[in-house]
This record gives sequence, structure tokens and C-alpha cells, in this order.
Amino acid sequence: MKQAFKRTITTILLLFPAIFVLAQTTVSGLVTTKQGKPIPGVNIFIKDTYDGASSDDEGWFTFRTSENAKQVLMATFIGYKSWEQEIDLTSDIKLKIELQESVNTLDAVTITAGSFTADDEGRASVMKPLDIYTTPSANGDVMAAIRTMPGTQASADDGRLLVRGGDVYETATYIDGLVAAKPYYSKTPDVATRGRFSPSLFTGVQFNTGGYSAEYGQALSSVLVLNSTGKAENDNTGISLMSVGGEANHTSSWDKSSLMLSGGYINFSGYNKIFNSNIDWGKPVESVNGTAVFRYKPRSSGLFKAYVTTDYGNLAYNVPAGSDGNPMKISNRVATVYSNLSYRDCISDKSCYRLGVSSTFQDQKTGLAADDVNTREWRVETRFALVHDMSEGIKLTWGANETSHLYNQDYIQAEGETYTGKFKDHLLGVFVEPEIKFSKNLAIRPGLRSEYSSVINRWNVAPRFAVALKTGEDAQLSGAWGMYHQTPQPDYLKLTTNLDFEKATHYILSYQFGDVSERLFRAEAYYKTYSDLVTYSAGENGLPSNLQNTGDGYAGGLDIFWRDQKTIKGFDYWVTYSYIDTKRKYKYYPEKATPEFVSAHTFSVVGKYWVNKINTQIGMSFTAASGRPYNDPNSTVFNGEKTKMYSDLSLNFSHVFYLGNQYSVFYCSVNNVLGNDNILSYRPSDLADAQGNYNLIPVKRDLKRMVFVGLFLNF
Amino acid sequence: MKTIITILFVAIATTAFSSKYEEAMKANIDKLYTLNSSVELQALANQFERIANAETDKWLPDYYAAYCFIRSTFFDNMEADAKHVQLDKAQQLVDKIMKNHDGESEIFALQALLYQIRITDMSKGAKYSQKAAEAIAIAEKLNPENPRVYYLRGSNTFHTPKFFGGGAEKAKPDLEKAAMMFETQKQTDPLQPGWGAYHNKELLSQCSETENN
Repeated sequence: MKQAFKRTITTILLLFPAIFVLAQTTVSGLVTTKQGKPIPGVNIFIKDTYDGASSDDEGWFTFRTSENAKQVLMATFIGYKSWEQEIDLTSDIKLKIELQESVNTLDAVTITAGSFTADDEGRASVMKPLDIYTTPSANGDVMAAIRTMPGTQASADDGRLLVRGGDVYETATYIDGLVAAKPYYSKTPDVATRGRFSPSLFTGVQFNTGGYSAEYGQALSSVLVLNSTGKAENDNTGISLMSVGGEANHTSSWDKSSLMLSGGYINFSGYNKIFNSNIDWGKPVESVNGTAVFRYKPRSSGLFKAYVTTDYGNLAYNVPAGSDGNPMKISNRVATVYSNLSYRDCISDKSCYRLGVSSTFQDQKTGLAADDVNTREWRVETRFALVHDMSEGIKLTWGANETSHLYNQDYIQAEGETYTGKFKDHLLGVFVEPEIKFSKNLAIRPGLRSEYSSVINRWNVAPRFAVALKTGEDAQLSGAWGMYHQTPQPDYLKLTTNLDFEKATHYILSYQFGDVSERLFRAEAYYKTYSDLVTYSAGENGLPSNLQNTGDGYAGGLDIFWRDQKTIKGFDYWVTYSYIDTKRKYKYYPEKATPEFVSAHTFSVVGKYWVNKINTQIGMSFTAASGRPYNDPNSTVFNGEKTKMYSDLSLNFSHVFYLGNQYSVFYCSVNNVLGNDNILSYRPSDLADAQGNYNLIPVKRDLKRMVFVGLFLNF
Repeated sequence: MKTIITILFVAIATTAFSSKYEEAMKANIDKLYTLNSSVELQALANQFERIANAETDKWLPDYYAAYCFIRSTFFDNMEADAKHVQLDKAQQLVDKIMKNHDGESEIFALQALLYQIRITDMSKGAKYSQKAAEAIAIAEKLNPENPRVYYLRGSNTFHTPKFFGGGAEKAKPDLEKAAMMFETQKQTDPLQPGWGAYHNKELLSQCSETENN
């Protein structure tokens, strides 16, 4: 007996490990979405063990485990929140797992109302950075490329962005979140200008035609956000030889930093001789510029950026002044220094910050006939913003900025009288803006911005709200509403500081479907109201007097965008159409009228075709805009006349070839191929002739046809 | 005596534990190179992820899981969108391990491979080959003896159009260097990454084809 007992014990003892191993439990079940749709490929496993399985095509899974106590069962799959539940493994388990979609997936809804983005990452983007280079009408100007987006005016005689009925000053430009106070070269009458910043410095452009984030203020109509490149990884030397000048640059890169230096010289004198300019040039545009870009990346999440660019330009020309037949000489000499320093980093997985300071200094000497106008302006903006991931789907952004503005203008009359206008402003802005994703399909972004301007001693409070609803796999509906404020322009503040903010309210509804790498359609309807716009009447010496915030107006319209890269292989095109109805009373307007820069209908097409055989891209852009209002002083209706339709066809071709290890480009473009010599607008002369009638001076583009040839070499 | 027993016990337990890891890893890695269906590779990726989940201090399980997701796009004529979903999964894992192991050449090599596979159409070429080149440069800096560095660089050059500085002729020196390294470097640790040799050979033979044409 005793023997038998001993044997049993031994057997049990010997068998025990085997039994232990064999005592496996089966875990099986089904994984579905909340709606009951099976999800294949889900990873189901017991936490901290190797035991588990993947769900099959019908969502079923089964596995065996030797674990035999209470354990945690997990299920994970990309695009879904991870699931876990405690299970008791003393017996077989069968269960149904429902996974909830994560709101932070790549294909989740993004707020797009009012915003046109050009970058490589976002699915909301409508352009790629390279498009700026390859758009024929742009000639390498960021602003001109943006003008092929809907909501903008063709404005061939201006060159700046005029967005949805707003004047030039209503669009603000930001680089890496910091204001760029002088985004264009100086504008003088009758001559179009262009953007100051080289497109090669930017990886992304976000063009907001309205309804934009509470992070930005001081823009009634539009905000253009340029995001600059990161650290350079390769050394490179580039030389550009162009029919209007030349440029050289060199990039050096190190382990954690990189430096790019460039310098250029532009001279238009040859052009005006060859192409017979419509403008009577005394001193054709001549400019020199220098740029330095430094990047320092101390760690993977941190990046310091420094960007300094300076230029000096000189020009002079004669404009027809009036019926006396004597032209008036306009000259302009401008020195500008812009610098932008920023640093961004993360404090933790959940919190990141950006801080920076930008400075714009400009010294401008303008000659108007015998008078001189010397303007010195300095604007410095300091800004920080913090972004917190509060919890799944909730992101909070808040921050503040201080913008100092010093302005001094001496108006020196030939007779000896000097008028000085100056002011100093400190603008303080704070904002807070949560973005809440309720699901993959619904997101809202309420925001609040408040500003104080010391020069006018006023506060404003601007609530904003944006919402986006995903209506299909590649379709979404967005809406935005917001209030926008802007301190009156320096031209007014130098005369009086007894003014208030100008105000606008935006309402936007937008629908979009498709993907930019294939086909994308976007339609956006908007309505804006303006109030407290500055009005004045003509006073002594042509200076405004009786300045008040009594202007108002509205703008309503429809913007359509269509881009297709898929239908024809190698062919990429986009088409935009904008309709606008707008009237406003501002500046010297005696009554509400459509401003002279507004065309009711604007249509544009940009197309590019890559010819593989000859390594060449051929591009075409066409813009047509209906006539613009102008004022005939002989008529009783203000801005009651209209110019003829405007159109422009531009072509370019870029041939890519190869020198050493780097590629180089030969580029050629022709603007206004058809040679339409449209009258863009009329400028009334100040003087009446003997019969008491006022002459109208037609404004045309500078060059009827413009041919540009460039060789861009890289080593 | 007691201490010795304890030490022995712990030692045995640890050996048993790590050998469980090594065994599981080795079995899965061996299986990895035999699979040629995307579903199976994704299931294997899940297995690696499960190991990763239990072995939080190791980067190889997540590394292999990411590699499986990338490799799964090579089979079954996957459509571009579906490929990017798998690559998104892989990217998540690469991001996860890069955080704590940013001195590991192999992780940057894998990142480069991932970027290269992202090039599903011409419009993505410029961006991702640039990103791949950056990752390859880091991988090289961290370990110039890593053959995948030269294989990936060669492959990048091979697929870059001639006028952007690419082409078979330019790619050849890197591919040859990789081939030599794949040949001479004996793998001592079976868990260490070993992919690339086969495709490298294929590219090299395509190089000589272009030469003969």
C-alpha cells in the first residue's frame, strides 16, 4: 500500500510538469467595428506574453495559451483605439470584441474651410511646393503662384494678393508663425510688384482665404502662412544665370546644423530696350539682395531656424500726370532687412512649443515729382505658442504675441515745407484654440483671440469657429465663422490716432472631395461683412482729412477648384473659377461701390505636361477676368465704368539635365504669349482740361510680352 | 548554500526566459523569409508585435514587425492605397523604436526602405527618395559596415531618373560594395537583420543588362 502510494506520488510529480504544459485554454472570438463589420488582421493577445493570434478575413480568431489565471486580453489595430479586458483563463473563452475607430488616424477629418494648402504631407493640401516653380504665370514668385488659386484677383497691374474683395493690406503674411511685414517689394503706381521671399526656402504654403485660426490676427481678409525648410542634409552650390540678372548660393551641412548663403543682382534695363515697355523708364528696376539661412537641430524634436534677408532696390520712371502733358517723375529707393528667428521643441510627448521673433526694417525714399517722401518703418514681433494633446482627439493651442511698430515719414515739399507723420504702436495679442475631434468624421475648432493696440488704445475680442464633417471616404463638408480685426493703416495713423479697429465677419461653407494626388474638387461659398472701415475726404496738400471709422461693406461669392493628375498620365492641370459680388464704402469713396481691383468673374487654368523623352516639362497657364470698375470723374456715378475683359496666356518649359552628381534646369517662359495689350484700369488725372473734363490715364502692364530665360546650375 | 541555489535558480530561469525570446524570434525570422503572401506576413508582423509587447526593452521585435508590414506590400499586387496603410503601420513601429534607439544603424536603414516603398507613383519620387537618402546617410554614419546602407543607396540611385543624378551606371558601385559586404560578413547573431542581399543581387544583374543593351 505504502509502496503503491509512493509510486502514485512519484507519477504525479513526474507528470505534473507535463500536465502543466498540456493544460491549455482556448481563447476565440470575433472582432468587429461598432457597426458589426468584421476587421481582419487585428492582433489579439494576452498582455506580457507571446500568446495570441491575428483575426482572419471574417474577423475570427482562435489561439491556445498555457496561461491559466486572470490575465489581460488585448486587441490592437491601426486606426482603432486599442482594446483590453481582463479574462479568467481557468476555462475556454469565447468573446466578441468591438473596436472603436481612433480619431487620430491619417484619414481623419481635417478642418479645411477657407484654407488652400500647398505641402507634401497633408491630405488637405491642394498644391505641392514644386508647383510654385512650375506654374508659368508665376515666374518663381510665391504670390503669383497663389494667384492661380480661387478667391484671388488677377491684378496684373498690382502683383499683390487681393483676396475675396479685400484690399491689399487685408492679407497678412507669416513665416514660421511670425509676421513678415513687407512680403512684397515696394509698390509704386502703375508698376506691378512681386513677392520678396524665394520659394526655394519653403516646404509648405497655407493660403487662408477666410475663416482662419485664432492664432492669426491683424488681417481682415486673408492670411498666407509660409513654412520654411528644415536642416539641409547635403552640401550644394547653385548658380542662376537669368535674363534679368544672376544669383549664387552655397549650402554647407554638418551633423546638427546647416548654413545657406546667397546673393543676387537684378537689372531690367535690357528688357525695357528689347521689349518696348509701356512705361517710360528713367531708371529701370535694379536691385541687390543677400540671404542667410541657418538651421540647428540639437535633438530630434527641437529645431532652431534663423533667416535673414536684405535687399536694396532702385527705380525711377515717368508717368503721365495730367492734361498739361508734362509727365511726373516717380523714383524709389528702398532698403529692407527682414529677419526671422524661431525655435520649436517638445516638453513631453504631449506638449510642444514654438517661440520666435521677427523683425522688418525698411527705409524708403520715394520721389514724387519734386517732392520727397522718406519713410522709415520698423516692426518687431515676438511670439510664442503651446500645443497640448489633452486627450485622444482634443488638442489645445494657446499663445501670445507682442508686435512693436515704429513709423516715421517726412514729406519734404520742393517749396521747403516738411510734414512729419509718425506713430508708435504696441500690439498685444493672446489666443486660445482647442481642436476637438468627436470621431474620425467630425471635428470642431472653436477659438478666441483678443488684442490690444496701444496707438489707438483699444481692445478687441474676436471669437472664431470652424467645423468639418467627413461625408464619405474622400469627401468632407466644412464651415467657418469668425470675427477679424485690423489696426488702421500707417497712412492714417500718421495723421490721427483717434481711430478704432477695422472689422470683418466671415461666413464660409465648403465642400471637397477627392485626393490631390489624383483628382480633387472643392467648392466654397462665402459671405463677409465689413464695418468700421476708415473713410476720409481729401484735405490740404492731398492729405486725407476727417478720418473716421464710418465705412462698411460686404462681399459674397463662390470659389471653385478642380485638380486632376490622374486622367492623362504625365499631365497635371487645375482649373479655378471665382465669382464675387462686393461693395464697400471706405477710403475716399463717396458711396458704396465695387472697388477698382475687383473682377466679378475670374477663371484660370494651369496645365503641365512632362515629356519623358526629352526630360522637359511644358507648362501653360491661362487667366481670364471680367472687366473691373473705374471711376470717370466726368460721370455722376462713382466707379460706374468698366474696363474690357482681361486675359493672359503664359507658357513655360523646363528642361532638366545633369552635371556631375546634381541636376540643373534650363528654364524659359513667355508671359502674355498672345500679346493682348489690355487696359487693366484707368487712373484719373487730377487736372481738368480747358473744357472742364478730366482725362483718364490708361494703366497697362509694364511689358506687353515678357520672355524670361534662366539657367539654374547646381554643383 | 541557499544563496548558490537561488543564484542557480535565477540563472536557469533567466536563461530559460531569454531562450524563449530567442527561440520565438528565431522561429519567426526563419518563417519570415519563406512567406510570400501579404496576409501571412501581416499575421507574422502581429506575432512580432506580441513579442515586442512582452519584451519592452528590446527593439528587434518591433523592427521585424515593421519589416513584415513593409514586406507584405511586395506581394499580391497590392494597390497603392492599401500599401500606404501597411506602411503607416510600419512607420508607427519605426517611430516607436527610434525614440529609444536612435543610435541603431539598422533602424535608419529600415526607415530608408520604408520611404523607398512609399514611392508608389512618380509624384512621390522626389520627396521620398530625398527622405530615404537622409535616413541612409544617418545609417551610414552610425555603422559604415552595414551592407544595407549601400544596397539601399544603390537602389535609391537605381530608381532615380538619370537626369536627377540616378540610373543603373551610377548605382553600380554602391550595389557592388553591398554585394561584397553581404558575401564576406558572416552573420554571428541569427536575430540580427539580414535582408537585402537577394534584391541587391537582382539590381546588380539589371545593371549589367542595361550595360549590355
